[in-house]
Amino acid sequence: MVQIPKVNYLFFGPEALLIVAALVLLLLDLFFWRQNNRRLAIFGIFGLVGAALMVIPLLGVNGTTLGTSLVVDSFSLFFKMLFLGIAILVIVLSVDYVAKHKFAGVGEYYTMLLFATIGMMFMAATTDLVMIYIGLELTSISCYILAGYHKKDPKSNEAILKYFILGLISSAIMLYGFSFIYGFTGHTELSQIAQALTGESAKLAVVAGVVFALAGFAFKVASVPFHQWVPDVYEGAPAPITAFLSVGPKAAAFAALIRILFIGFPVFASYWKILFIAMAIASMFVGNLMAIPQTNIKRMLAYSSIAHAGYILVGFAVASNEAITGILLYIAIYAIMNIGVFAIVMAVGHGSNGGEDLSNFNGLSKRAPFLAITMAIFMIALAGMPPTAGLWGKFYIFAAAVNKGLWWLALLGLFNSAISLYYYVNVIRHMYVLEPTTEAPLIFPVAYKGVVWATVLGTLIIGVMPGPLLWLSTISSKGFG
Amino acid sequence: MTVASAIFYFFAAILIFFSIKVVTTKNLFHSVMSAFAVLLGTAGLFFLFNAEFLGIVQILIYAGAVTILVLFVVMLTTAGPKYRIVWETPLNIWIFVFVILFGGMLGMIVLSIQWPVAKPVALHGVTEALATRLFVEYLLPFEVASILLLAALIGSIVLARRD
Amino acid sequence: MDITLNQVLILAAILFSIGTFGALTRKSIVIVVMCIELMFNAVNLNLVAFAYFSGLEALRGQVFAVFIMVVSAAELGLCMAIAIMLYRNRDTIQVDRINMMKW
Repeated sequence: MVQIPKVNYLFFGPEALLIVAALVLLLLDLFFWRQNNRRLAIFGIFGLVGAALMVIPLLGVNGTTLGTSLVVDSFSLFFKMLFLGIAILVIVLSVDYVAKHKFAGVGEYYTMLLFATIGMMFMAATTDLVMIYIGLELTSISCYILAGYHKKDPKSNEAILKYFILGLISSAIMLYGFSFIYGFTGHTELSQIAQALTGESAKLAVVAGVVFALAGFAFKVASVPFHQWVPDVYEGAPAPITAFLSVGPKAAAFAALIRILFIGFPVFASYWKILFIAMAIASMFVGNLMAIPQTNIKRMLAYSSIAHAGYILVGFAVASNEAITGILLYIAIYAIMNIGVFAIVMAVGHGSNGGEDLSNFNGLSKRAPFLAITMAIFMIALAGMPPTAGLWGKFYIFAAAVNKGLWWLALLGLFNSAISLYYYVNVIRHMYVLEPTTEAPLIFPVAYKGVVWATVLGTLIIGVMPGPLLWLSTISSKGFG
Repeated sequence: MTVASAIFYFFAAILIFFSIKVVTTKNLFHSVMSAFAVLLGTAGLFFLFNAEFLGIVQILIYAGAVTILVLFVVMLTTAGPKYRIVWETPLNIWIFVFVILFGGMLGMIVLSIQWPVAKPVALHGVTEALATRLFVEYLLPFEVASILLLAALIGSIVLARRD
Repeated sequence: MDITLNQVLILAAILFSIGTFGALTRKSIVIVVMCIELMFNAVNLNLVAFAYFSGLEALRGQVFAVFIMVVSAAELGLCMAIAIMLYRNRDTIQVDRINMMKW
């Protein structure tokens, strides 16, 4: 007789509710609200808010259910709340974009966004390699489809093609690494893997396995040896999806990476640290230097997101508890800043007929003073200057690096922030110094304005008062590193 | 040489021959058929390694479902120019060199690791044991995989339908 | 002489390398994805061999292979949808002729 494991159904609350919401949304689209964009979006937001409410009874709980397939701890809850917040903002941004571009399959669009969110939540809440893989692929498949939603646009076609093929290759390489790890230990659960790894002969198997596995995650977080897809996909994908890709799947991959490295292979930290140092330096330099000559704003932000992945990877190279706190803080702050930036890019694109060229920002201070001033704040924040939240993200990671004796890595990071200032300030120059092509005031939907308000307030409040978010990331990173 | 290892070498030869054919042949149709030969050959190896369930699933999915699907797509989309592999470009030579080095490195790594090996035993009821594992230890991934299939299904319809 | 684990692993490594080469050089999306399928296949072979040679006590390798099969079949289906969409819009499914932006 097979022993059926005891299941704690409460632990599934957020994910289960979101799955039900996604399926009901699909049926509502089919039977009642045929392609009714606004109603479907509001239903999707209700689903996400409901899932966020289901997180509340889990606060402070530590436990696992169904073996270790689902882990509930403050780390996973931190990321769940982050993903739900990101998804809500992205849906708000999507409503007017979907209406303007007349997407076929509106209900499927929001369903895919919810599916991607579910995948990300599972990725952050498990310590099993199989579950991490399934969550990763659920996220990826949904994101491939969303990236190609402009079916008639050649750039979007190219985005889905590159994203899909390179994504498949990187996940094949990652699986090859997982198979080595399994072959050596006989387990797929991370803490059991850590126990099985003893003795000198484990070294090579682990190093090979981790290097291959890292290839898959380097693709997802857009770090250097696997970054070529980033600019093309970010440029070709629909703008709200670009905002989603630049923060959501990336944060999920970082979360899974933290679990794999710090639960599965903490003993071998001295080996994988070297890899992360190389990846961090390469990502920072490639991202920042390639961003300078870009004239398309989405392409520029793509390279800047590679650079930001580099700053976060500095935290992995340090690999102390302090550094992981810094990583969580940075991911949350970066999500807020970047969604705000994309809201402004979409507002400007909406007013100037979808144009994403940097010249559309010329003289924005005269056409839309609110957008210009908030964009300037976000640019300063992305460069990591006070009094914005961007400062604290960089500060805690680099401080952790200095405390661990990696002061030269922190110095390289600061040097790169200085380089990045060049292209961020260039955007401000376009908005305030150059003359606009038309004097007509920019007209854009109120939803974009709402998202910009929310994110800019978040950026400034965290910038003045980082305490609460820092406290959250400190308790969430407890036990790692 | 035992019967088992003779079977293994036979399948290994098939796998390598046809996988080279997938990569080098100029005819799209032949390439797809060679890929299925490789996948079926792997199913044979699965039977050899006491993974009957996987072998049958491999045959059902790849020979039964995927072949038809891929061949339909090939027929629908080959009205374009002739497909052929271009060996002359220097980039491909670099990729070739890179892949040779990569493969060599893989081989070296594999050979120099001391894998923990027990005596292989032929086991009855592997499928039953597999099912127990699948529905006890890996129940959650199994359920989430159904969401994944649904996502791929909806996505394929959205992308491929005419509108 | 019996089959050893190393022989199987070497075979999988060869298949994986050939698949990588094809995925990086072929121009038709269908063949690129079939080559990637070869790579997944090599991983499955690895996992099944590990499960067999570790005495079949823990069948986790075979379970993992089941999941990889599910995902790779789903992705193959998705790829066929993408091929149809591209052919409808661009009259070709060749990767290099769809390349508009620089890599």
